[in-house]
Amino acid sequence: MKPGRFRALVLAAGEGVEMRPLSEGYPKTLLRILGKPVVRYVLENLRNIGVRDAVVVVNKQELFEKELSGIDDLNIAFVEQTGRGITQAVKSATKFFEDEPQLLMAYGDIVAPPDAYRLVLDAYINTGAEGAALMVPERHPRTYGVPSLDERGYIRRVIEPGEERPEVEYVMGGFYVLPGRFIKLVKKGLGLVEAFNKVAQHGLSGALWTGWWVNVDYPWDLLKAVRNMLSELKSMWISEDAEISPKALVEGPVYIDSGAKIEHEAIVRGPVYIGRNSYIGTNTLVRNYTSVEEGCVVGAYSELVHTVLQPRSVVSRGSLIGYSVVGRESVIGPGTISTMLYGEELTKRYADLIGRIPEKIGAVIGHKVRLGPYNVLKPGAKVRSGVKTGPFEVLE
Amino acid sequence: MCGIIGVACGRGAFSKPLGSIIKEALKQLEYRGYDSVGYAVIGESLILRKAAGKLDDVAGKLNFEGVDGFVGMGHTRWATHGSPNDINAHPHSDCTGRIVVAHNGIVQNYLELKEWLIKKGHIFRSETDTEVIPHLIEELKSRGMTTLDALRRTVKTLRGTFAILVLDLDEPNKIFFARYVSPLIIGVGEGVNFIASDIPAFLKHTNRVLVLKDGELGYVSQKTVYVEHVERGVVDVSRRIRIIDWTPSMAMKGGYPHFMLKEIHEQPMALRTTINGFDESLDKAAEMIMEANNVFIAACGTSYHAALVGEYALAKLAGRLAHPFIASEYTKYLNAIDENDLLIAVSQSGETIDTLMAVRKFKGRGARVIAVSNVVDSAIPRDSDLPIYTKAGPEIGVAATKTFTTQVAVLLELSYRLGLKTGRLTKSEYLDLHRELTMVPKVVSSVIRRYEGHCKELGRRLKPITSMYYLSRGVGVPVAMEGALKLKEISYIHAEAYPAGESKHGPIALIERGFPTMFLAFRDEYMEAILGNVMEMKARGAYTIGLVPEDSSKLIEKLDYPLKMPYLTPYAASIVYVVPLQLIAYYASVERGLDPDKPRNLAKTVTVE
Repeated sequence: MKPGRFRALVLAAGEGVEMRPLSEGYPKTLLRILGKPVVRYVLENLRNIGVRDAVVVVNKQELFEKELSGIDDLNIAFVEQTGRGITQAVKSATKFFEDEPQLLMAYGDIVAPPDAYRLVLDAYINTGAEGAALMVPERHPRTYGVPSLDERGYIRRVIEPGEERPEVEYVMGGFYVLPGRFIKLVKKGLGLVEAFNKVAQHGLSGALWTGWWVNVDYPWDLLKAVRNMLSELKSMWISEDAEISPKALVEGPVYIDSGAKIEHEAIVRGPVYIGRNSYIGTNTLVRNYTSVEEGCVVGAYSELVHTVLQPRSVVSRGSLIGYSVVGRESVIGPGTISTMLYGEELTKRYADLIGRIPEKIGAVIGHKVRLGPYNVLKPGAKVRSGVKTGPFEVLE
Repeated sequence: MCGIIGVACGRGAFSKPLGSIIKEALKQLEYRGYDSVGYAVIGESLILRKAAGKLDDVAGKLNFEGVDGFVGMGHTRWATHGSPNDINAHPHSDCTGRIVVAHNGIVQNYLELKEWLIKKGHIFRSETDTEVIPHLIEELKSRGMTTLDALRRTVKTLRGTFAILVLDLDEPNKIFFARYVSPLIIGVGEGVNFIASDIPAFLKHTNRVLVLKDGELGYVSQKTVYVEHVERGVVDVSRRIRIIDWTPSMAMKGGYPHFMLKEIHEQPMALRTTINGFDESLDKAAEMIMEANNVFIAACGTSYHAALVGEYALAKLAGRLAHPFIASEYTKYLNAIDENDLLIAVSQSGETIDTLMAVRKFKGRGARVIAVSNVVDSAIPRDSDLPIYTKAGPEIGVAATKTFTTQVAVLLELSYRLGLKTGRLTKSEYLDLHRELTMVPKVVSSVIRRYEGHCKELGRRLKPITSMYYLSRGVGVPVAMEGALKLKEISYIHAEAYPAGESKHGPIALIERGFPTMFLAFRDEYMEAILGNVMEMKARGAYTIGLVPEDSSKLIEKLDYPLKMPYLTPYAASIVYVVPLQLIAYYASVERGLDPDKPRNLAKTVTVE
């Protein structure tokens, strides 16, 4: 008898409505955190639990091929999604799974440690159920599908938001081991949830993951993922070919990638990630939970805190950017200030998203934005991709 | 809960005798049960050896190394039916000794099957539920069935949970198997096949595994694997074999990252099994309490908190005073003890040295002893006049969870029955309380599902704190103590519990802005007083968390973080309320990056003074 391996289906073609403006013209699962696109974490996790073949459903194949090359020991087949919606995404890939007795299905927008994925496989193997699914405790399950559990704690069905829901504080975590039947049902025309509920009739084992887990849906989920990952960074790692001025101050858990340059009098206070070939100007302050991606420039006298700069973006001299995300190749004019929302005002304004938002919210700036000098970003401001502003503008 | 391993290897597959291979596998399975060990090997003949005791202690006696053959199986046991002794150890054989069976799980309908088989002339040797399986197969074979047909029929007849391995001298190259709920996994090797409760048992020899599903049965031999489903017929498993590149967590974790979390989630099941198992031993215990002059309860750690709940119920419902004490302090009362007195010793493991010492010294002065334990025939039950068992199954997490709630269930039912006997409770009052207790497993399950997200959130908030108070009144005080102990032992946060009325006699001096304080309020005479305690803490800036009855709107309004608990008497509530406290401690530990299963400086069973 020939042994096989689990083959994985990764769904990475989501439109990312909630991620706008960062999903405008750019797939949200390719947004970077700590030097890698989001979906790459999913693939590396799958590789780490023994997967050697993954089928990734995408919407801009050439971009994905470029961003996901060179993952050791993993063959990736890309499939362009036909039609819209997640059911269509699965449908686009059915031909790869027709002969599989079971498959792994992973959402491309989940960032969690590899142990979460391993837990699901262990649950599948150890319980003898027909499949298994990741569950995560969540105090505010409202935006997620929730599991309906039987006495043994097996998942019998997923209940989507909008339906009448049982009082459970778990949400579906976006990773499944499913019987091959599931693919046949989707091919036959069933919706994803319908097909899942059909294969879950006799109960799928629920793997309850209690560590950190982030569903990258909203821009600030990127901040949350960065925070969790940087919290796991316990020591300082500086690439040999990073160039750090002897007068710069680097402290705490900091990861500085190759080719990065940190100028005189700059202070980098971890946990922080400084990406390849990025530049941190003189007298800048890069504070905790910031991820400066590849090729970014942070001008002199600027301050960054709890912020993600997507690749090749520029924060010009004398700016303060906090709890914000800046899109690819955007330029923030000198002296620009992002203001932050917190406390009661924050909970009032984002009442439906309590539990999903960080303790403060700054601004979200799309890709290829050009902000003029001395702009003020009001809290929660969203700047659409490609926008250009003049000096002294106030952006809502 | 037990561990089983089967090996089909032909001759000379290993450089060691088959007995050694089985022994190594059993060592990997020991965490599933360790009160007795046995194995059977077919070589020249069928050899069956078994003994009560831990693997390392009985390995010499069983002489694994001296036994070779071409198929074999081993079993490591956790007693459920029948105490751990040589006869009750697995494998079990039929009347002829030609069919042997190892089993993990519980056969629920074994009594009726046993009765029927005895009528058919079968002779039973053990008290186990398992022994019906070989006899049933023997009986069916005597009617002309093949071993496989007989096994299929047996699987259809059994009710309960099982993973079964069968050796039959009539088909000596095969290991027959069946799985329902209890785990069973085939390891596919080169010229050797394995079948075990858990992958680590054979991971050293092969990483190609075939996970059996519920309702599947069949056989493995040296070169073949045959699987069918009990209802759906032959199963093509050739494409189900998977390569395992990682070291899987122990099967018993079954989808939970830690044993402690799994055991918290197992509480509804553990409570139901314990409550369904209530028998006349509780009535006997009630009578012993009635006959006694003084009643003492000795326990340590978590068990002591269960003892305090028991003391409260005994006094309040049955009008009976009992003196609970921490077992290591036993000398305090020794001089006052005589043969008219009674000691109730509460110990999860039944081996706790301090409690065992108290039992022996009390016995030495003539006192009678009732033991409440989770381990059948362990030292304390053996030394007692009347053992009562909680049926929580083995608890691996060092922090006691399901054994606490089941101990409380036992002590509550004991108090209820005593109340009925002494006339302090009317029949209908007793029935109401008893009925409520039988509902507790369901309530616990819904509380877990409804509040796990909240508990995770609270665990996150408690991550940076250094100290915390747990306050209550009445039966809630021991529950608060248990909550504080959980937080201390697995998240290393200092926590203190005391009756809430004591605040102004000292402890309130520590309260400053943001100091977390947990309140437990029940539907009892203390509700108003607790509200006052919440107010006095709030006035000093404490961050107030509370588990409170769902209709206590005043409390809910005042607390910073209320969790609404279902409508229950304080007695049943003492079981339910501890569950969120366990979860909060668990999540605080995880958030702090600690391993809740391995708290520093602590051992599961304390066997040194």
